[in-house]
Amino acid sequence: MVAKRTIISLIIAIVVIGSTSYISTSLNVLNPSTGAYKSIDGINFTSGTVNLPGLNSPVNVTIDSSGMAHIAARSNHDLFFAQGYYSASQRLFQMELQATLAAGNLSKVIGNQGLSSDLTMRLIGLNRYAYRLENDLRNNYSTYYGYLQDYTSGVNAFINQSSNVNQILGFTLLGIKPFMWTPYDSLVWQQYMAWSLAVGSSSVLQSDLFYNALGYQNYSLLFPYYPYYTQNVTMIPGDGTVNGYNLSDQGINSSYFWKQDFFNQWATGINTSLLSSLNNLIKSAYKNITDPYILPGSHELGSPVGSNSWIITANYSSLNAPMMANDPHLPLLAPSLWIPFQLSDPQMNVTGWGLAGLPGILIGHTSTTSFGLTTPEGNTANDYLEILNGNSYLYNGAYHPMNVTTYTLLNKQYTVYSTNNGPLIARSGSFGISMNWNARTPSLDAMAEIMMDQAHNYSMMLNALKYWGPSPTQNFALVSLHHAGYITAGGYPLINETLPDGKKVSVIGSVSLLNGSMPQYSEIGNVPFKYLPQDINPSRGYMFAPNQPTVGMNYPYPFVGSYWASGGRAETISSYLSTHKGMTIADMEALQSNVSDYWATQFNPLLLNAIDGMNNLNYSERYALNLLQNWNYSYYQDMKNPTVYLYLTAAFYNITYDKLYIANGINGEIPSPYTNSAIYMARNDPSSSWFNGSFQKEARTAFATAIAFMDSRIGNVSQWNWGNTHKLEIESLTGLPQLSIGPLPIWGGRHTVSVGYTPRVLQYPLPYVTIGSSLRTIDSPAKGIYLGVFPGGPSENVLSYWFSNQLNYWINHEYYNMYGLKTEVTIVYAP
Amino acid sequence: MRLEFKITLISGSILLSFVLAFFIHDLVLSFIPMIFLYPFKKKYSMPSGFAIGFASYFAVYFQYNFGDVVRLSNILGGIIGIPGTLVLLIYPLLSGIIAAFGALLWSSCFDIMSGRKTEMNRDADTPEAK
Repeated sequence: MVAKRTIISLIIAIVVIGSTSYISTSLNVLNPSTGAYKSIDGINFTSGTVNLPGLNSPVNVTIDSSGMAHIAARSNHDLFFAQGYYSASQRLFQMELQATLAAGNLSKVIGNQGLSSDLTMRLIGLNRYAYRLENDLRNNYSTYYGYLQDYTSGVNAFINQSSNVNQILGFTLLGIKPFMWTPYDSLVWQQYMAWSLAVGSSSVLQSDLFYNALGYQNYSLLFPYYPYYTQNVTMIPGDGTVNGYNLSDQGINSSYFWKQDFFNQWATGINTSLLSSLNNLIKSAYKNITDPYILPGSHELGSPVGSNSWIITANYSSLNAPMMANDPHLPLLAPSLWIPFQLSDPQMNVTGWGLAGLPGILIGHTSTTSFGLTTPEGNTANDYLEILNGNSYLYNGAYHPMNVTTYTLLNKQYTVYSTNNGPLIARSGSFGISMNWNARTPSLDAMAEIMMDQAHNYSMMLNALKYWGPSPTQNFALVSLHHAGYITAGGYPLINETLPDGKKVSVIGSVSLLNGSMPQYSEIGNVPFKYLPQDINPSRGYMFAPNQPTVGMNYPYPFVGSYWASGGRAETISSYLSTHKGMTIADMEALQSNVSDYWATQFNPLLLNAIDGMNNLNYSERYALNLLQNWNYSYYQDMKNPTVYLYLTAAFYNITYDKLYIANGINGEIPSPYTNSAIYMARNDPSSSWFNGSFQKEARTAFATAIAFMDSRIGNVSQWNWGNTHKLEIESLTGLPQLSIGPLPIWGGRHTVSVGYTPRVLQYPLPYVTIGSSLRTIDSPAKGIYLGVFPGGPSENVLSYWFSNQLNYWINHEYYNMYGLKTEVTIVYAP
Repeated sequence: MRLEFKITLISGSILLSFVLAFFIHDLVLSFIPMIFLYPFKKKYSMPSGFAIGFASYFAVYFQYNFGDVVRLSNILGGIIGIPGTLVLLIYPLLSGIIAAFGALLWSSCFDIMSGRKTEMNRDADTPEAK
């Protein structure tokens, strides 16, 4: 007889082996052979030959010590194929996650957690517009569509090499395999980036909520059409005249025009009492196009997304050659949105940064040109109030059926309804709000980008930009061997307005909802290319575009719907450039790394004046006061002065603007006004109700509150260093802090040129800086000077040196010379 | 049991374990190489199986830079919410457990198939006992 004990042993063994095996299946990611550890194999570049059957000729790829890939091919086909292959080898997970997010398919990968983001993406219509764009490119621009296909083939060549894919940590962690790339995936990401740079829509809804709560007088006081003190620092010098045309030429006096209340019914077609009854609908629309997962964009009122650029003419430069600098402020991600390349073949030789997932170089230079971009804050998305009846909308006196799009996510069907103005982003009874974003028209940015890459001179760049857009409209800084200038390229949708005096004018955007049922408020086209804001070789020797008002008040197509940046960076740049005739490269670097706050130079004296004379100050208060009195307005990590100023202004806003926002039910949806609004009000109306009747009293209360907060939360004064509370986090797109970089003490403030944006809140530590200079370039093509740096590296592998190899240079405001660096790796892609 | 035979059996078990860990990668199969340990007493074969199973999967880490292995373990641990060291040990531990009970499994099978003797009797009859 078999011993009972043996049988029991056998059963125990089977049970334990079975259950342990079962447990292990859910831990495959930890398998040292096949799991996450496989990604260690992918942390380094390896010299050698890679066989890629899709190529026609060998392609040489060298990686220099900065991590830039120099790709040299013999044809455009091979060049973009190789760019696609290399991009996938470094960023495939990022590319696929981005495309999945933009297409509204996140929930198919991560389940319910991604659903709200998907619904938002599909409501906005990124997927629909990407399909439309792909069809347009395929049918009408086959050469450029071919480049997209070449890039796609390169990506898929990488995916087909399964041993490569197994080394990618992101796929292993999610337990998924990559999908095969298509041109649509590139284009849907282009749409996402365009949406993040779109202006309007959300801000229109925010404006209406503010207007309904506090009226036009308060709105114009806190959010004037042109922010206070910015009239003389516009991107285009002068009064707004472009190519000899201005508002006055139309018989309209600009000072009359800008006094108008554009929330009024004559401007919108909507009775203001009706508007005031729509708060819930407006809030719903705002919520529906705002998802927490979506990267911060420009479409919010007071958006922190900005950028800097400036150009110097040959006459103003110590080099006797044009120069330019550019640093686009975007979400800082690990890996970066950007990937550095030199792309060369017999037809082109361009170097710079491309967006991971798209062919070409977006910000960069050739041997004769340089180009960069920033966001102009004029509306490219307008919202319309629709009158509905069932599934029909009213337009021009008749009801028309809405366009209906259905889709399924997680086994549930959803529907998007669209009127002639675009998708319905909210509905309540017989009213709805539709969003007319200019990306509804296919935007040929991918084509224009490659045309820019292939341009040899200023006029070729201008010609390329005729194809840019309509979405996103961007300020392009352009420099060639002899010329330097700007153009705001893309589409600015125009609306015809009849002013109270009966004069008619076409304006850009609206501050409020427009009546979608009345044809007179429909968009009538875009600003003609000739009259887009532009200038070349300005006589004063420089221009700059850090998101301040683009043009003066006499511009022929007034920016009614616009939410310009505060102009703090513009003031700093203007002041620096105007006093530095004979600009050197060192001056360019110094300005790009400037961390002084112009608005603090104006507001701090007002606060000090109010605080002066306070009695019975304790030690910390005396110490803080001394810091404020002896501040050079810089924000470095080891300084204590900016910490005191930040918390003082936070406390001040808390008991003034924030308090009234809360009292009027608009907190959380409307940002606080810019510092220049507070400065204006403190100077001109210190007894304003916004200051509860006394600027001095509130400043003193805020000072005591702020110092008490710092004492209790940060600790004694030795702990008050800016870098102790102000930290940078370069986030992973996955949201996992373990795959992110930081938090690291960081310089800068919300208004400094080298920006370190953080909200003005009584919180320790401050919310992390997550938006900033996503790359920095300084170029002078005529002199062969090309400097650049970005806070990352080419690789998405968190273990790799190449994941963040440029970070320290970026933090220290140092640059890589983009040529002549040591070659680290040489790879040949062989057909 | 002769020493050479013992060494051969143990070596076979180790070799097969490592081959499976490095080339087949399927943890479930960790019990198979323990078949070589069937003649040993369970009190020896189970710990030996555990050690061989553990070592075979732990050794896989050494095909990488171990510093990177530790860094990645800490990252994974942060994501899962457990210490990085434990992350590093989980798979070898699971392999060790499966191998240990694999040894028990084969041993029990052997008991059943060859003479159906109790473990006590089999121990007395093994070459080792003689």
